[in-house]
Amino acid sequence: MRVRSVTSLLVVIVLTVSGQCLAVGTDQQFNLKPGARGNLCLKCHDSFKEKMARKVIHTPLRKKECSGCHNPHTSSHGKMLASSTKMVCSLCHATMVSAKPRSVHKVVADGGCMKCHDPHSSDYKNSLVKEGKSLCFTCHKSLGEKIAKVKYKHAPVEKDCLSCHLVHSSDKGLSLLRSETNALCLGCHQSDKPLFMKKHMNYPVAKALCTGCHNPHGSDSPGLLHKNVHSPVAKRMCNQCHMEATSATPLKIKTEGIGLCRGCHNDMVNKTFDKNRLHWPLLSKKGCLACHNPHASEDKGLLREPMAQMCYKCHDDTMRRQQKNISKHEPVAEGRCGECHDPHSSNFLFLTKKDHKFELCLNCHDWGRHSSHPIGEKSVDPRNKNLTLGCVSCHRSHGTENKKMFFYKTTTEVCVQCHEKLAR
Amino acid sequence: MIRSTCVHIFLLATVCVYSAHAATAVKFKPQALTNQDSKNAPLKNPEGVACSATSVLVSDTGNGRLLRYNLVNDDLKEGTEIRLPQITYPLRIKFASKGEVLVLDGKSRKIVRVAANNTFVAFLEPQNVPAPATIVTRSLTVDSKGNIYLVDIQGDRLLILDPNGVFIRQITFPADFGYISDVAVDQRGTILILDSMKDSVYRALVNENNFTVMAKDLQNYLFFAVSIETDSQGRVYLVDQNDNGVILLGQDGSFLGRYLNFGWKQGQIYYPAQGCLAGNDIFVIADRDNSRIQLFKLQ
Repeated sequence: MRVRSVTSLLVVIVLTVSGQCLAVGTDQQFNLKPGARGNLCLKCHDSFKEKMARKVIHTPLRKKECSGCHNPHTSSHGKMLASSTKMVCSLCHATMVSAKPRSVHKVVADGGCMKCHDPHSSDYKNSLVKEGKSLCFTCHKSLGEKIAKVKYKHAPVEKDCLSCHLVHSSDKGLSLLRSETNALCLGCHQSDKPLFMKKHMNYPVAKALCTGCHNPHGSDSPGLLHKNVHSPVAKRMCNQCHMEATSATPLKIKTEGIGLCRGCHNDMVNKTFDKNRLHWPLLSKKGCLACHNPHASEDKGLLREPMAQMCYKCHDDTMRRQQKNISKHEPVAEGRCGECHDPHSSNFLFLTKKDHKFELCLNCHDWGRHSSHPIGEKSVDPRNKNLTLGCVSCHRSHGTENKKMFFYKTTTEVCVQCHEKLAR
Repeated sequence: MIRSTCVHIFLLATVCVYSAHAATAVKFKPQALTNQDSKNAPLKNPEGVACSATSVLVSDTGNGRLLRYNLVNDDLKEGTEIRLPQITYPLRIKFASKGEVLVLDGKSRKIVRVAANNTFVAFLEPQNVPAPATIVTRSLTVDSKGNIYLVDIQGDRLLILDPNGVFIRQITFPADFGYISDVAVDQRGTILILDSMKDSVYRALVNENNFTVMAKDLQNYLFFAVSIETDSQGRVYLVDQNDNGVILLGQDGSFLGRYLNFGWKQGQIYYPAQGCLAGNDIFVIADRDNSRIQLFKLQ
């Protein structure tokens, strides 16, 4: 009884899916000419002769059923597709992303199947548009360039990205990794081998995060260490911050919070805390580690990520506004936040290195020194007698939706804010 | 008979709709502004305001002092300077019990108790607080009973102290919080905390020991809110520093409106830092980058 009902259910599912994949209805019902679902199409679409000669041909095309994906009469979608690119593939390939993925390839989530796959045919497996790493590096170009240049290469990377990464989604790892980072590394690198233990000063690093020190994609430093290494790590003086390797809690740090960093960076910490305004994350539970990696990093100052990415994680609104701006301030657009801001502390608003209204701008823009317009501490803003005129009286330092980083759309609008009598 | 019943129902429905609208809609009418103290000295980048029914205390941050104004006829009068060596860079400020004021100093990061006669009383030293021992206060508020609420960003928690600073209880920040920057307590004792990074408001009802989401994904209405305040109806006011406005939320967290705009003229604000509700429906804003305090009549 149970077998029968399961069989019936399967029959229903198969019929439903096949019905969705292909155009509903029979040739007789529509009075179709023989071959109307595909063969006829190929008579006009000559270029398909070349496509049909490739090694891998997408099943609907192989069966010459163009109407499986395209509407032969009319469509609201490009290439006369029967649905949007995202939907048309998912009609047959519904399960490319698992139910509870830890990470999903953005291009998959965005429905960009055709960025990797040729929907008709290809000379490569799975109808991919390119083979192996070269396909990945089409989008991940800068990573590809870095990998090609590095002095010390990681063998699995040389072989294929898929040694460590999945392509559509991963249930177990971030960044589409096949499993948790360490589990993946330890699959090849056995942590109980004497050489491994010696290199890691006998610390049980298998319980830490390998990518905290090593760049799995390759490096110019031996041991695939990141580009910038914290001095105690480089000197293998782990016990400067951590308990002894022989202790019961070897990975535990000696002091919590900023106190540990102060041990070496005392002057810097003192200078930081001597200012009026502190960057609040510095005082949070994570302290310095909110922004810095204590072991090694690809970025200057041991930042956890490139500066812009790091800052925008919290200051997402700045990023959102930046995307709308027509006129962009170069350092902002290039993610050089530290050009104007001191990320630790400052005596000025916005944690700028100098007063943001005028002095700061003069670092790069000499114009302020010979402007014919009154500007500086002695020039009172006619709109508000508590303010003096500075660059930011007319320009917004991060850029605006208007030209020249103006607050207002036209130059006239900018001027008449103060010169009201000239307003027409 | 049926006709008159229908007319009554229609009228009742109209009145209900109108009343509901009247209960939620607010207008921010520019009422007054002050940019100087009683000796005509200018304010500089004020970052804090505390309100009572009859007075407004200002953290004149850039000048390293406090100013005490009287609220007379919906305007600020006097502006007496309070200059104390314990306060060099005042930020957040709140009225406490016995006419005292609690001031968070940005440089020392201590909370200073200032008496009603403008003298230094003591630093607030929280007592009997469970680990971690270090407390870093990002913001604070005081409820109608005088209990003190501290946003402790070192301990990822909200500390609740009695008026003398003795620990009563703590509530840990919600999981996945971004950056908690302010706290408010309404008349029923509901605690509200503002997550500036996640553009969300969380709340804990009286005696609840955890925060739940009250409003989330507010990024369509604001950029980076830094101050939260509630009124007698339980409505919530968020001061959006980076996009120069005030966002009004209903008791249930629903978005009711966005008010004010960027600019230098009266009624416009430029990087507002804190807001508070004074008597007679006056909303006071520390208009930081305009170096002034603005008063808006809520209508």
